[in-house]
Amino acid sequence: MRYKAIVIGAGPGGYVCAIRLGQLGIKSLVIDKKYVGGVCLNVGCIPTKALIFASHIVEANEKAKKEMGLITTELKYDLERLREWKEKIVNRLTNGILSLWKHNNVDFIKGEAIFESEKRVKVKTESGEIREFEGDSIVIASGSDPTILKGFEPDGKYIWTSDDAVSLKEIPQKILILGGGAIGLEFAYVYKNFGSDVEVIELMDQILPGMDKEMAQELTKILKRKGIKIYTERRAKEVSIKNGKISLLVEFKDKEEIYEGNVLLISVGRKPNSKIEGINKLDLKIDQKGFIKVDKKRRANDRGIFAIGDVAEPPLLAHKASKEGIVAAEVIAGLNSEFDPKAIPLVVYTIPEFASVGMTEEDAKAKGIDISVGRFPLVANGRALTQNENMGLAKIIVNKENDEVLGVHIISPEASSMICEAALAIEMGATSEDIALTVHPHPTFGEILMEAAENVYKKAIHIINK
Amino acid sequence: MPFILKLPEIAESVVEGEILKWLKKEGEYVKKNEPIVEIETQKVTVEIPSPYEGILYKILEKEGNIVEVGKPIAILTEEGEKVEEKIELTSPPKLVEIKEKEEKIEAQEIEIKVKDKVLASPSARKLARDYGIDLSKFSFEKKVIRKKDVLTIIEKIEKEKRTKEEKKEVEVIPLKGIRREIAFRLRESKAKAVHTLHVDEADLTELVKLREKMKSLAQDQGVKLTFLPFVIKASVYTLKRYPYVNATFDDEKNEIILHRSYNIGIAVATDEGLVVPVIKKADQKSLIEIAKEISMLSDKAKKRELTLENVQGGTFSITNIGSIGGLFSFPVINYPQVAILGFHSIKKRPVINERGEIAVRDMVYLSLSFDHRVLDGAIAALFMKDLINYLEKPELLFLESI
Repeated sequence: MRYKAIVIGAGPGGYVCAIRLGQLGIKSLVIDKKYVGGVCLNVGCIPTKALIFASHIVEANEKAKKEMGLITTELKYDLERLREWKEKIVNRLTNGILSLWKHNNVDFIKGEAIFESEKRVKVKTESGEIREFEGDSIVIASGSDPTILKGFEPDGKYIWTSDDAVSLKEIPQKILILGGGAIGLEFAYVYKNFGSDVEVIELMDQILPGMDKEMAQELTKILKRKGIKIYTERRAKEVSIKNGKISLLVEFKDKEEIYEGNVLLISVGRKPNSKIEGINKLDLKIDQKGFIKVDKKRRANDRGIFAIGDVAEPPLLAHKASKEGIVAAEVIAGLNSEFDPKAIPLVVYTIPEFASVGMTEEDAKAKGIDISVGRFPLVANGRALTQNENMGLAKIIVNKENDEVLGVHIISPEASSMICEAALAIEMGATSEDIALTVHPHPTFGEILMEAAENVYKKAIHIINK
Repeated sequence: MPFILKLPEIAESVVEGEILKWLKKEGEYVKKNEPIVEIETQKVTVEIPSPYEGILYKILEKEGNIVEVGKPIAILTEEGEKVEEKIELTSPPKLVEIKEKEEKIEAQEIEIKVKDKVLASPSARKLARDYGIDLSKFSFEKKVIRKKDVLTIIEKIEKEKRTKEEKKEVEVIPLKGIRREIAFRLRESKAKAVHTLHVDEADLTELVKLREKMKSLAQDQGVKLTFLPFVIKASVYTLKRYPYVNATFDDEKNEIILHRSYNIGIAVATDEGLVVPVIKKADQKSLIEIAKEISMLSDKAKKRELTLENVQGGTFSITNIGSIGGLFSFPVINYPQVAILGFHSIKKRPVINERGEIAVRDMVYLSLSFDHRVLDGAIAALFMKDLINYLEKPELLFLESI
């Protein structure tokens, strides 16, 4: 079979790419060895959000009892039914993709892709059958896998990856989480709410390395107040399992410490999955970390090979993959598209959420840009208090010279939605004044971004501007 | 193996064609017999079907180029095929080069952003990219560039292009397409035929009345009845009596060819220039059929949809200049035909009738350009007299047709 385009990987990069190809009149084949929807839909973004929502009900229930005079009985949960509910969401979304594909002339085959040449791909299906396809253009959207540390190989029982954590097979009495990035923190939040004792162990000097330091500290404070223990600057050295208990040896400064728990979740990041059989037959540049080098049009070479999503370059985010998928599809169709966003937002879906787009204070300073910073705390926001939330902060970083918004960082419920406004502001080259002058509805969480923008010039209404 | 697509022979005596429009882009997949390119020749446009199935790898002749029949115009490849070394020179530059170039541009952009603070919204960036503008090369009063600012730049660029053109003392327009064909054909006609003009006038008072009556009847059938179908009909009956007027001249063989079919060319002005579609076998068609065909052919002419079939095979031509005005004109013979009739404005004029009175009549001038090599002046004059008789007494048309 011959296709104008073959897409390897059905995640948020690949499936979106195939749909756009169809919209542009190009019939395509999508190959995926495991899931329609990729990690994102099956064991990543979507199911974790379902778990976060469910576990938040537990947390909110506790607070309601304690602080709001709502008399509730002890909340009980049936893990089996909770898993079923989560699966139902996933199925609904994957079926949605299948139907969109159908209308966009997309063929799908489940199996492992093997490169024969730059135009030829073999697919080994689950039954062991081998089928061969030809494509004028091939889009590699093979995603990423959890990073596995030597000596910390997951066994699914005591040592987990995020795939185990999302399957919610049990609520361990105590869970150690190695890695304080987005994935680690989201599971910390979920398992804490479901009743586990949670300890997060991070190598760097802050959780969410690379994020704005002040914001990371703020989030640390909030999570600690929820009872999650967070330890930074800890290097895990060794893990041992004795009598069904995990014992983790950690190096901290010049000392050694031992952390104990029932389960150890490894969430130290993800690595690009560029190890596709036969990929060496293609003339590609793959860096040491395994990322396939691409140009702005997401071309990996000039003979029809494209790479998008986690396998192409950081950040490893679904929404970045989708946008790249659209660019690759349009380039295949002969359009002059390029992937050129000024900033890509990132969200950690704990409640409150942490969302960030653009430069951190540290980034801007490192670039030698003279900046002004505006801040506004959630505690001064009316809506937050009505929802029994008071921990959070909005921070806006602008270029002092022209007031251009360079970065926005928010900790707040709904921060994931609020960050969209900030992303648009950055893309449009808006100023903090633009945000401050835009009427924001009252009462909303979104007002904290407006007030943070006003605070840049010390004009926020609901705080004493300093 | 790559296939070389050559400009095929479109019709007899067509030796070259203009690439009007590529219907497929480079890199696009082409099915066998799917139209791949539009070629303009001899006042018509032809879609050339692809003789091969594959990918349009490279277009060798750009739109607007005039290409001889048999010359390569494109390279097609099989799907997935790598193109041979010798064609390699036309393949895009290696990625390394692209990357280097892009990195350079990026560096430039960043430099200027830091210096001049040029900020642009995503849609502005996209528009600039699509139009091929490097925003960093422009200076803006504003600090943030929106789509409309890029549109303003584009308008400015376009306007500059136009004024540059206008400022030139002369404007050079390459002779191509229909204009080129007209120039060639008319020069040939004037060079070869011995153009002679005969002019007469006709009293169309009766025809005007008749047409007025018939107009609404035709309207009921959705047909606009002009004077031209009457003129065609009258010409055909007259041509039947003067076979040498319904003729073509073969210069090479020194032969006069008398035609038994009456295929009447009608001159149609279009934006691109004059074209002469042909009403075939006008002798076998009714007035209303001819009227319908005229509107169909002039529509097609204006939309540039005429086929070779529509413009070939004429035996006599009529040019109707009446709608614009003027007294009379000297039309150029549609060579190798031997005569063309010019039909002019119908105007009310005072004339002396048979009883010696001055009467107001609907008068028209008719001119006949003829090739004196084939037709003697007397024949032309007699032809015109008979034609005028038909037009002045339109009931004769019915007499003949029954």
